[in-house]
Amino acid sequence: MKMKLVSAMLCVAMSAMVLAGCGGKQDPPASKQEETGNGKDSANTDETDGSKDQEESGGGSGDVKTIKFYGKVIEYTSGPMMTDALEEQFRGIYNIDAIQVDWSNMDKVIRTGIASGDPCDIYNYELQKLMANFSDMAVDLKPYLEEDPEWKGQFRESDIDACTTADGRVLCLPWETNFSVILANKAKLQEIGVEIPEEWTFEEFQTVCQKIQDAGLFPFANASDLNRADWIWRNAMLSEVCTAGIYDAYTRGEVPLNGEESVRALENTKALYDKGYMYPGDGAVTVKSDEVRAAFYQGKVLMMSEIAAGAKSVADEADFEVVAVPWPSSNTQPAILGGMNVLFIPQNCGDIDAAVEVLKAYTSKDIANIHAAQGYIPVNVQVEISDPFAKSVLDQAKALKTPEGPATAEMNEYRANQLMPDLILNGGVEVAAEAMESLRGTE
Amino acid sequence: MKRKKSCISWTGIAFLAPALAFIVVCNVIPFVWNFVLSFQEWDGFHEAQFAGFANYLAIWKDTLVQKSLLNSIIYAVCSTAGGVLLGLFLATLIFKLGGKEGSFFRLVLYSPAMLPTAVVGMMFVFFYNPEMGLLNQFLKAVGLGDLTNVWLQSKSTAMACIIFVAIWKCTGSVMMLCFAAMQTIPGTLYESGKLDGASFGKQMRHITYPLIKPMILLSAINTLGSQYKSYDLIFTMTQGGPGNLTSTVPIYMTKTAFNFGKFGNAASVGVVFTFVVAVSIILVRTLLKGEEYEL
Repeated sequence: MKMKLVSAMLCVAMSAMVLAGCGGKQDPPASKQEETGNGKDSANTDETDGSKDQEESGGGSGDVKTIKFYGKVIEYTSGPMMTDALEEQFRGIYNIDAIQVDWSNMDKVIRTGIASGDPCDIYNYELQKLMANFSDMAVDLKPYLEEDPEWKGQFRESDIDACTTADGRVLCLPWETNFSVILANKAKLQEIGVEIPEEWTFEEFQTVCQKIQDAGLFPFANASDLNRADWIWRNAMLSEVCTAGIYDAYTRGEVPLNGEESVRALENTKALYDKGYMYPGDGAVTVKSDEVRAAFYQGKVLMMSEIAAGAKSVADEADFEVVAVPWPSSNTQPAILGGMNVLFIPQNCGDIDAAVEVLKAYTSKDIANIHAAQGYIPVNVQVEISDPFAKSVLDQAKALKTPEGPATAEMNEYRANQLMPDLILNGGVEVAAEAMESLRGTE
Repeated sequence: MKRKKSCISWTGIAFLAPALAFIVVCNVIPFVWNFVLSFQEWDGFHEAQFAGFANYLAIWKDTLVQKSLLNSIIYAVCSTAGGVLLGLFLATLIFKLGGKEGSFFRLVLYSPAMLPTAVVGMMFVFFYNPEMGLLNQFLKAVGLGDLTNVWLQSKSTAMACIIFVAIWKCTGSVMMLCFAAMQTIPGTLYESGKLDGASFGKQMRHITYPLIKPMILLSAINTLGSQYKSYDLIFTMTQGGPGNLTSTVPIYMTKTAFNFGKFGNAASVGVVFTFVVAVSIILVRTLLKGEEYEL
């Protein structure tokens, strides 16, 4: 009898523990919308799971919603300052949970978040990828823009157009302009006797590269990570289609990628690798961005590609003068790949109106000014760029072409991770051109 | 008597219930859900659509799946074989060492297994770096500059380099398991072996290895299973590249599901991969099965 009693009690205790364990998991979704927190805790900006910290700290003084903002860019000196300002602005209204952007895994982070049913309220992303991958999942911001002409007036009409789908939905809003630039070591180039023109073709670029190589240095470096591997080909391709007058067709995905323009662009790209101009020679296809930076700072390589938004930090960290130089043109018309970093709200976020309110604040003049003051390039038209280096980088944007055109996730993946290995290591121009053309066919 | 048996049975079930619930929630339900998903088309956002066997048919048309499967098999089999053989060899070398030197060698040899895989991956990326990596620098220093290579970019060396790291990482665990099993063998067996004139090699071959065979089998199956699942090491070292040169099934599945939004496709590859892993484990069991001795 005694044993029976003990058994029964143990059964009840264990069942209770199982239920308690399972029950605990149900809390986060319920707290998603009506989460309460202590306003004082909203200053927490360093942790990606800041909202959990707030829950754990307990003791909310009122009903303060948490807005999960996937847009804290720690690579920029301005990034934490901007999210701090955002938190300060909404102190006592919303807890802004500023989450660090993981640029290499943005696709995975966003898709997993949306699929889980508990996404961030606002995501930072790249414009072209958003239009290709998540166009069905983003909130249409058009009604909010129409409602607030002052907010709408802070964006260029062309920028809003770039964020608009064919059926008129505004899926996102840009917060900074971004494009690829080439940064160069001015002193070393002068030492070798290289003068950088305002525009140059691939032939002229290669002549300069040969001169640098003869001096025992690597002329150019382009990282294989952070979606930068295909920059040389994409810029060359843009130059080709602009020269041929088929840019619009290209943006509609109507230009064959195994055609003469693409092949010429691929040949020009491959030549830089084959002639050993790319750092570090044989390993150029797999070189990482941090290795590129290190080599540039050490003076081993004299020119490197970088995003415009990252140019300032490269220039600041180098102990020599860094200048922005133009991309070489594959044909007569210079053209470079342009893009914007945008913010979008997923349709299944907790509180769309609150997210829009935060989005408005983040794209406002006040916060964009912080970005500009640090030498970066916000899109807000009311912000004046005064930093001389930022201005020189912005000068390179005169050849900017955006948007480039539609691309599926598979095409983006191929261009980012497989194009250069196929082109340089696994078969060359024909293999790469045919692979891209087959993927264009699926778009 | 009958009543007592029934009572013990219920208590046992009650004690097993939490573990059973854990296994059902963490293993059985995800597996069943993955199996159901493999017959669907789902992008993670919209309603899933029934796709029949389309995802499975796509596997046979997709050369990248086949390449990833082959890479996974090569990686898992080679690293397991290398890890088990080397682990057994190291255990043989140290099992007679006692005192402080024994502890020292066990610690040194086991330490790679204690390191986080991502850290190991990053460490060896620097080791293999063509410009400033330790390997190429060493080769140049000893006058073998002609042997320097772009280790993680070259077709002939990329996968071999990753397998080498996997062996380095898993050897310590195998060694410890084998070492522990060797400790349970009574000293009297070795003494009688010695009296019969058996050398160290013969003692190992005829006494030690047969007696620790179940442990060798266990470590081989454990290592094989974990190497098949390996994602972090390959991702940190090459991300499956350059191109798809070192792509394995876990990397392919992650990319397909989370980058391309083809969850059904990834799930079907997962089901096929589970079958391949199961067959491999059965093969290893069969190959290593034989006479077993009880101490």
